[in-house]
Amino acid sequence: MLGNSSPMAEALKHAVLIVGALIVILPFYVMLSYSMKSPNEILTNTGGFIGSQEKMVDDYCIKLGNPKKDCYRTPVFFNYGSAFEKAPLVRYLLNGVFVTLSIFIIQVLVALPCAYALSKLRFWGRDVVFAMVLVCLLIPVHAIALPIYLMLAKVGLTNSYAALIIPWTISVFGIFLMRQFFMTIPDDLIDAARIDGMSEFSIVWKVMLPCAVPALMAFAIFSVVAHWNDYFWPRVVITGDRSYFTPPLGLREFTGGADGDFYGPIMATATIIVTPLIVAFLLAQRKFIEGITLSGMK
Amino acid sequence: MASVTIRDIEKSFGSVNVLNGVSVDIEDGEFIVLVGPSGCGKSTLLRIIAGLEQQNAGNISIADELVDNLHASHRDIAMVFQSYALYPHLTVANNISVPLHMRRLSFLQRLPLLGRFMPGHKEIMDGIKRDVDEVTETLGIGALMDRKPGQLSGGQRQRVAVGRAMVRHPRAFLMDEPLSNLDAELRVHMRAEIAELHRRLATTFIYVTHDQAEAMTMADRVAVMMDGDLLQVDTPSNVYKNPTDIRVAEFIGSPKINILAAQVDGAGKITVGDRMLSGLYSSVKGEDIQVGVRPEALTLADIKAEGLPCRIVHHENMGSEAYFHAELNIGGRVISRMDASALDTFATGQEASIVIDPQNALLFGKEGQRLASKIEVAA
Ligand SMILES: Nc1ncnc2c1ncn2[C@@H]1O[C@H](COP(=O)(O)OP(=O)(O)OP(=O)(O)O)[C@@H](O)[C@H]1O
Ligand SMILES: [Mg+2]
Repeated sequence: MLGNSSPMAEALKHAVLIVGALIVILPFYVMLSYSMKSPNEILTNTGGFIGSQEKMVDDYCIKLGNPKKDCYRTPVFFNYGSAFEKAPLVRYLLNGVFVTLSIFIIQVLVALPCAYALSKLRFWGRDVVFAMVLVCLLIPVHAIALPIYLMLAKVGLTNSYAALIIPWTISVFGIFLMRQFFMTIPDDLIDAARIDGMSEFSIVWKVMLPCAVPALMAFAIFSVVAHWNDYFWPRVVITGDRSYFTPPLGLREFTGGADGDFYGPIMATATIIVTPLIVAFLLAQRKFIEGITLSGMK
Repeated sequence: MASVTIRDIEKSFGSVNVLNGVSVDIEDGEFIVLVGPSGCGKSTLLRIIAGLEQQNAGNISIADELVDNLHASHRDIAMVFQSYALYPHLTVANNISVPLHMRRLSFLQRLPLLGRFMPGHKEIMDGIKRDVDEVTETLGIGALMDRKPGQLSGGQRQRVAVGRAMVRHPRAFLMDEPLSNLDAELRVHMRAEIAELHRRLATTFIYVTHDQAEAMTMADRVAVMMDGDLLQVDTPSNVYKNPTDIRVAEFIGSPKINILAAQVDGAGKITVGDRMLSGLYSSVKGEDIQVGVRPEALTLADIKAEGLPCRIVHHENMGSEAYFHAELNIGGRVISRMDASALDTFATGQEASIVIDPQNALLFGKEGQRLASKIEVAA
């Protein structure tokens, strides 16, 4: 690949990639920009990226009967301020962290032993079980949402952390992904561990887990991103109690309402919600590339 | 240190029979090499001895004690794998100490973080460190203690794998082609090193290889396996000089033994082509047999000499000796191994004749079984 393509082809490749990157980045750009602008600038589409940051009047403040001179605000502080004031955003963020991490940890606790059994142990019916895992991969969440909701409602678990976490604890995707990765780990390593005196459970946690860190990181991204950003499921099972809201549910609080849409605060909230993911990804990126390779095996 | 007894081991995977009743008694402190072509079941037998695979029939005993129902970790044997199977995420020091951790520390003492606060933890860890240091010193890998396996060369990994096996003083060592991932030079070096290690430890070694040179140079006894059968278990020189089966004769020795078709007359006299082998008599009479002749027992002679006429099609100069490949006029190809001085007389393309040394000719029946022969020196 390297060095044998003409400058023209290189330029074309880069052009295509740049256009692709712009298309992906554009919504984020708009989100970040709106989160800093005044409503007037947003409606008239002026003020460039960060807006002029001219003081603006807070209508809500005036409605509360304050004199106009006390109700001037800088747009960026107003937007981010109301994101935290209008809704208990910190609480939502902590809910999100708790739910997402719980889901991921339990998924790993379930998926690793399953994947180990499916890839390295010989038992009757193994292929059938694995085929069932593959079939489960094909079932869309929305198809089984209603039955799961009904089951949770029957045992009285709606409006609880359990409702947010339990349905996701068995990830067939996780089992599948880890199983495929474990297939690449040589059997000799496991036999060596057995001779060294490890039990099958020790092998899973002390040998397979450390070897599987790169695959686990990949799975972590899928799992954490999916559940951090999930709007559908929390919306279904959290029907009233705002103290269980996750960040995406929090976004809803700014839409509609008597005062019309607050684009500025909504975008500020959205920015706050995606920031932890982006930071986490940047931190984990190096780990991805480093990875613990299996080069010690041969 | 223990003897290992293998009795009538049978193993099949599905409908494929891999081992058909293998028996061998391995003495305490013996270095036995299982050798055979790829796929003959050597690794399977070794894994059954280790307890990693369950046999379909037969028993294994270690130190005269049946171990068939013992888990691999309780058989007190160590295994070195072809791929070394080092833990990729642990340092050399930790790789070697794993078997001791698993054996000497209790479940609570092994807990991460908490383990170190359990009573007795420190004394045990100090003992482990002493033992690991002793092993790494013996193997000369003391400087590598903090590296991960990925940062080691093949030879160094091999030594770490041996260290992990040595550290707990097992009753027997099982080694599955431990040298096959090394380059030729290092392989010869490690061969000597492992043989020396065996002498020092005086423990039973069961060593698997498909390389007959390794088998011949390291073993007290060689066990030749083929297609799931143990054909012969004997000292290296007996396996070479007195193979009991034509397959053993063909497998052991490089260059390969020459096999020639021959007829035996009613008096037991043997004819190859139209030449009588003088002074050699077969125990079976009036049959077609096969004569095996090692390359060094075949000499080239002048075309007019009493031998099988042939044409030299290729010669290889090995420095101190030379190999001549010759096409026989009666059909078939043979290799002769002679002193390098023969290169002055013979060269590729030349007509010559092949003389068989009857004292060193081996007779085999049509099915490959060894036949007795009698040598009568002509008066
Ligand atoms: N788990 C298994 N399932 C099915 N067949 C197997 C299994 N393990 C080994 N075999 C078969 O058993 C036969 C013997 O295998 P084994 O590994 O013992 O050979 P080997 O003598 O060690 O060969 P090599 O020198 O190539 O390592 C082979 O034909 C192999 O395909
Ligand atoms: Mg093998």
